Amino acid sequence: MQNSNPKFKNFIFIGIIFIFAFFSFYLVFENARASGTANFQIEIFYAKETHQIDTTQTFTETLSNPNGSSFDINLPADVLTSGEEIELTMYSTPEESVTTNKPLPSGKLASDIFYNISFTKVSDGSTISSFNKAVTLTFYYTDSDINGINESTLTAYHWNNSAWTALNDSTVDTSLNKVTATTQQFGDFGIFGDVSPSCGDGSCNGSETCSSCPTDCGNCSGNGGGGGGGGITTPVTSVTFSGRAYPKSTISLLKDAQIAATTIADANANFSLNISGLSGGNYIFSVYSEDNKGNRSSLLTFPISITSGATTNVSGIFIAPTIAVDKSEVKRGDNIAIFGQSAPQADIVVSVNSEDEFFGKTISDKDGIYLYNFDSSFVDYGIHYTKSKASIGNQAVSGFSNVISFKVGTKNIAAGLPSACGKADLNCDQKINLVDFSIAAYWYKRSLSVSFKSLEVERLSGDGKVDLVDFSIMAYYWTG
Amino acid sequence: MQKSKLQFKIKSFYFLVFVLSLSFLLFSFNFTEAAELKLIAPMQKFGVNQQFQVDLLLDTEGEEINAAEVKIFFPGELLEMKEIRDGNSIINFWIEKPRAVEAGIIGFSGIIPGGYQETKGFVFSVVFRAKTSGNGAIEIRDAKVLLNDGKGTPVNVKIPPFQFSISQEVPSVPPMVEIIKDTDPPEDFKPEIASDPNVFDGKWFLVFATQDKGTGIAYYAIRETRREINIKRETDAKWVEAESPYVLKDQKLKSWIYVKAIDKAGNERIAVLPPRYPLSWYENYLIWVIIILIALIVISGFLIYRFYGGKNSR
Repeated sequence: MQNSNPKFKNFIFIGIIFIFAFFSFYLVFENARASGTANFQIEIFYAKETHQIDTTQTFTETLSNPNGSSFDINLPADVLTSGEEIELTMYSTPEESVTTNKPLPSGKLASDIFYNISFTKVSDGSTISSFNKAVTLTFYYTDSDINGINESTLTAYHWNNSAWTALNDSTVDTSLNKVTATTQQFGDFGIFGDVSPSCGDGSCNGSETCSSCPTDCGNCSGNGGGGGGGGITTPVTSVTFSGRAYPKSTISLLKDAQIAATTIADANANFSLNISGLSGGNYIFSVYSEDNKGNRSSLLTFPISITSGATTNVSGIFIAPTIAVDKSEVKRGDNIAIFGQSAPQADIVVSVNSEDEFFGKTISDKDGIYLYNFDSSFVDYGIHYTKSKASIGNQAVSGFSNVISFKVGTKNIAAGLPSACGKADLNCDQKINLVDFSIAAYWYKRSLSVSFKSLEVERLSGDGKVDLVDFSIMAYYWTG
Repeated sequence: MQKSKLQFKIKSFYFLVFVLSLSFLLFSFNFTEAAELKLIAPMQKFGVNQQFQVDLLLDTEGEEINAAEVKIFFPGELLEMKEIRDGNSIINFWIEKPRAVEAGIIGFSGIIPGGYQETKGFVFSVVFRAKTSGNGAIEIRDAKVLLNDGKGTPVNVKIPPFQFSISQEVPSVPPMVEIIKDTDPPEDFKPEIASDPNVFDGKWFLVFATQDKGTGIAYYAIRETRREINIKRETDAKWVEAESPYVLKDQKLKSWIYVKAIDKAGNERIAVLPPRYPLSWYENYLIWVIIILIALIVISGFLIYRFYGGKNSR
C-alpha cells in the first residue's frame, strides 16, 4: 500500500514546505497587522518661535531660553535670489532629545542646549534646504550649560543627516560666552568642545568655580552673603497633548494613572490639554475619551521622559473609536449593527475576529458616528469578537478600539444597557482607580470573604483569589 | 547529470524556503510573547567595602505590559543590601513595594495602568555593599510579567543573571552609586475618601498615592482635624505616619484631612481634603467660646451698671 513513487514523495515534501511557509508568513504578517499602532509626534523644547520673513530685507531674531542662554539668527538681504517670502521655525531643545539618535563625535562633549532651525516657502509650504547666502548664528551659553567642557575649544556643529560636522568659521568668545558661525544649511545645531582637563577630577582647581564646575566645587546655593535683588524666574516644565477624539467629547488625561486634566473636544473633534508644574523624570501619561453614549475609548499611553524647564509637545494623537453592538446574540444569517463614535468623516475599519478575520469599511458622519451592519452568515455559531480603528487620509491613524464580543446563535437578543458595575469596578462607581486598587490590595494574598468571592468572580479573574492577574485586569480597564 | 543538478537546485530552493520560513516563524514567536528583565551596573568587578548600584530594567520587546511580580536573589554572604531606590519608576502603583522579603531576597509586585511598551523601563535600583571577596551572581527568579490584554496573560521572561566578582583591591573607578540631587517635592496628588462593605467593615477609608521623580517617596503622614489649620505651623508631632488605604479616625467625615508625602531627600507635598460634612455652627466650639465671652461681657456690664448706677441714683 505504501506509495514509493518519488514524484509523489516530492509532491508531499513540496506541499509540506509551502503549507509551513504560508503558516509562518501568515503568522508574521497577522502579528504585524494586529500590532499596528497609532502614530503621533513628540517634540521637546525650551523655547520655540515662528516668523514670516521678507528675504529681500535683512532679518535678525533671538530665541531666549529659560536658563538665560539664547540663540541669534541673522539673515542678510537677498538670502534667496528668488526673493520669495519664507517662514522660519526655530526651537531650542535638551541635549538628550537630540543626541539619543545623533551620537556626538568621539571625545566631544556638548552644551546642554541644542537648536533646530528650518525654513519653508510661504507660497507652497515646501522645505528650503539651503540659501544662496550664508546666515550668521550666534550661540550664547551659560557656564552651567558647558559644565565639564573646555570652554576655549567650543565650536558650532551641524548635523548633516549622517554625522556632526564642525562649522568652518566657528569662533568662541569666552569673555562674552558666545560662539559665532555661519551656515547655508539648516537642521540641528549644537556647540561642542573637548572634555575639560580638570572638572570632574574631584578637586576644585584652576579656573573652576561653583558655577562652571559644581561637580568639584559644589553648588553655588551655599552661604554667599551679600548681593540681593533681581528675581529668579523658575522655568516652567510642562507638557501639551493635542490631537483628535470625537466631536464635543470629554477627554481625560492621566498622569501616572491619576486624572490630571480634562477637556472637551471641539465640533471637529480636535482637542488640546496642557499640564505644568512637573518635575524632570519619567512619566506615563494616558488619554481616553468618552463618546456621546458614555462609552469609553481604550486608554492610549505615552511613556515620556520630561526634561526640567522644557516644554514637551505630543501632537497628532488620534484616540481610537468607541465600539458597541446592538445585539448580545444574533440569529445566524441576520445582521448585527456594530457602531460607535470617532472623528467626523473618518474611514472606519471594523474587524470581526472569528477563525478568519473579516474586515468591513464605513465612514463616520459629521458627528463622528459610524455604523456597520455585519452579516452574521459569514461566521459560525459561537462567540465572536469585534474591534474598529479609524483613519483620516494617510496621515492620521488611530489604534484599535476596545474589543467587544457577541454571540452568533439561534435567536436575536438585544444588547442590554452597559452594566453599572463593569469589569474591575469593585466599588461600582463606574471608575476604575486607586479605590478599586485599594480594595483589591486589601484582599491580596488573603482568603476571600463570601461576599467578596462572588465579586471577584464577577469583576476580576474569577479564580477565587486576588493575585497579580486580577491587578493586571484592573490595569487594563483603568480610568483613573 | 544535468537532471541531478537541476534536482539539487530545486531541493536547495525548497531548503532555502524552509529555512526562511523557520526564521520568520521564530521571529514571529519572539515578538509575540517575550519580555526581558535586566540587571544593569556600571561594572562587574568591585572591591571589598565598595558600594555599587544595580538597576532593574524592563525591556517589553514590543509587548504591552501592565503588571509584574519579581523576586531578586543575591548572595548574602558576599553582599549587603544598603538601600532600595524606587524614585522615577515606571511602576505607578506598588502592590508590594520593593523590599527585602527574606535574607538575600528582594521582592516586589506592581502595575502600570494602561500598559507600558519600551525597551529601557526603569523599575528600581538596589545599592549593595561588597562584604568580602568572591564570585557570585544576582539572579531574578519567580518573575511574572503580564500583558495589558484584559486577561492577565503571562509572557515569557528572559532573565539573564548579573555576574560579579569582589576582590580585596578596590578598582579605581568613578563612584558607582548615583548621587541624586533632589530638590523637587513629590508630585501633586488628590487623596480620595471611600467606603466599601467588603473592606474595613464598611468604614470610611482614605486612598492616596503619588510619585517622586528624584529619590522616591519615603513615607506619608496624615493629620485629621476638625478645624482648618495653617500647615506651615503644624509640628511634626501632630502628623501620623500612614499608608494607603488608611481607615479614617473621624468616621463622621467632619474633619479636614491633610496628607503629606515626604521624599527621601526630605521634600514635602501636602494635599488637603476639606470636610465632606462641615461642622454646623453650633458644633464649632469657637462659636460657643465667643458666645460665652460676649454673654459674660454683657452680664458683667449689666451687673456693673446696676451696681454703680444704683448707688448714683440713691
